[in-house]
Amino acid sequence: MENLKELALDIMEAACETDEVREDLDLDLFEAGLIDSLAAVVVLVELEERTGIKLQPTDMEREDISTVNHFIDFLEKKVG
Amino acid sequence: MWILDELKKRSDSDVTALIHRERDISFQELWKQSEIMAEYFKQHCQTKAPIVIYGNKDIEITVLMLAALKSGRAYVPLDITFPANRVETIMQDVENELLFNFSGETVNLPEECREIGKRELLSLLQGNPEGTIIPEQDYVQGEDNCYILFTSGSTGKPKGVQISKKNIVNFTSWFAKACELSADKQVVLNQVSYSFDVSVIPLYIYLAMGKTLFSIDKEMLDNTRLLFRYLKESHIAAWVSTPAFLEICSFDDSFDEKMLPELENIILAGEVLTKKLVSVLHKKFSGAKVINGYGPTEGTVLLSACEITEEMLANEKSLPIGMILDDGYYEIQDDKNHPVAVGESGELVVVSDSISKGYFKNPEQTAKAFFKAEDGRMGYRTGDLVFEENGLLYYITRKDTQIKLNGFRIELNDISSNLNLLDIVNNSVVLPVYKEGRVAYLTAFVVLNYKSELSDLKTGIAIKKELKEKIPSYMIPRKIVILEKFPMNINGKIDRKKLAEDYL
Repeated sequence: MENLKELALDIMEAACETDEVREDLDLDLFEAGLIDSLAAVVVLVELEERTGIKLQPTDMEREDISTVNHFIDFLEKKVG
Repeated sequence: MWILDELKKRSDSDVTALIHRERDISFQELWKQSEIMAEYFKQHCQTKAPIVIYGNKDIEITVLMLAALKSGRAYVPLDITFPANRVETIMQDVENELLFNFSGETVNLPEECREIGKRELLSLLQGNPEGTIIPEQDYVQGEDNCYILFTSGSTGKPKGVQISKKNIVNFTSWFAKACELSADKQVVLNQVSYSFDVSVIPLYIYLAMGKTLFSIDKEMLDNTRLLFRYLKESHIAAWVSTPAFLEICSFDDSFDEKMLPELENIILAGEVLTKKLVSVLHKKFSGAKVINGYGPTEGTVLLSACEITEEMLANEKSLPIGMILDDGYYEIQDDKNHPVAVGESGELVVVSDSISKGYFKNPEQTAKAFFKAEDGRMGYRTGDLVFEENGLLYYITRKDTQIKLNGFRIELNDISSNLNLLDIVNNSVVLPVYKEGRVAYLTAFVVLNYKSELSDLKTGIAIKKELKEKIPSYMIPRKIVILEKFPMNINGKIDRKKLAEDYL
């Protein structure tokens, strides 16, 4: 669980290109303007690079990456 | 090729003209409904001021565009990415009598302006069963404006690019050849926002050819699963978009010729096209040709284009943007407006019937970028640095601080000017962050007027939220860096280079 959290934070930090994502895990990243649809693709690239797991954009809902906590839940289902 | 002439030939046709989700409209209905609305404009408007349309991809928007043209008026399409505040600023310039609002946003109307929502519009379209016939002499003619597109301006106020019938006819007559589809192919992607002129290609070329436009709205763009569900059923034969949108789609393995078996033409414009994307496309869609187009809004959609060949991909240079359109002549000029030596780089200056008459009610900005050539035609200094080799033009970069982000044209000073209007902001600088040779996102550096109690993250978010009320959402910087003061260079100006070195 702790590993997944770190993984989620690392990926989001890389996709949003800011460590500010660590400050509030319930922050709506779309609303905060930290992520957009192009960055969403980067999430998948980062995930593949770090875990070897290749997911498709259609495997992921916008909701799944809207907050770091949602993304942790998503990873639990897909990776954990 | 002129859209109203072509649509008139199809005014009895039952063929589908547009599809949006579960709704569609035939050429016959499109013709009839636009007659009804043109008649409405004639009866209810005192002036020939343009009609403003604030919306996304509703079928009725096309009805209104055609109705405006038939009644001798221009239309101003404003996408839902525009905040109400910016719409209000634009309406002050346009002095429109009618605002068609599909956005759901509340817009403060000037005194002489009436707002019509979608429901009221639908009931207006029900009326007049006899059918009116708008005489052709009422239609927009040669130099009359057809549309005015408001694009980012460096002062923080958008500039309206006026495009006439003459401009459009010149563009479509040239580019229609590149758009040709096999006779049995029918459907064309209609994804590009109407406030961005690449959307003119589906509308003024493919619809005029009698093809069916398949509309993709903003919600579908935000939801890949939903988007693909529609695309799978679409039978699209021609794809028109920015490279950025196609790249997002291409990231999915299932997006290939099995999903779009009829795809023949891929037309990309609005930003730099990379070899990487074209290679992927050639693999995914082996039977489709990829066309790279280049052109500022001021030159009516595209001033040059070419098909990208395997040979160009193998070449060590970047991809070419093609040759200047048939009627145009051009020069590549140095800083003193003298032509550069063959093969040297410089600013692209073009004279053509595609060049706009200038910015709407803005003689100052018009004089800066436009000129009248010796033959009486309009010329435009593009601000784009290019070079030429073997008869093809290659784009290098901008001369100024205008950038393209995901195909959207943005003046960086437009953002900082609007940031500086916020109470908390003392001064700001916005810089692009490049990844793999193109702008990935924007970072704003701000110095505050007073210290915020919030963390820098929360302050940044609050600033973005306020900024969103002033400028389109695609212009909002992803990162806000709060500084105590700006680094200065020896001339006493903000040292942008140092900012980039230290933070980007």
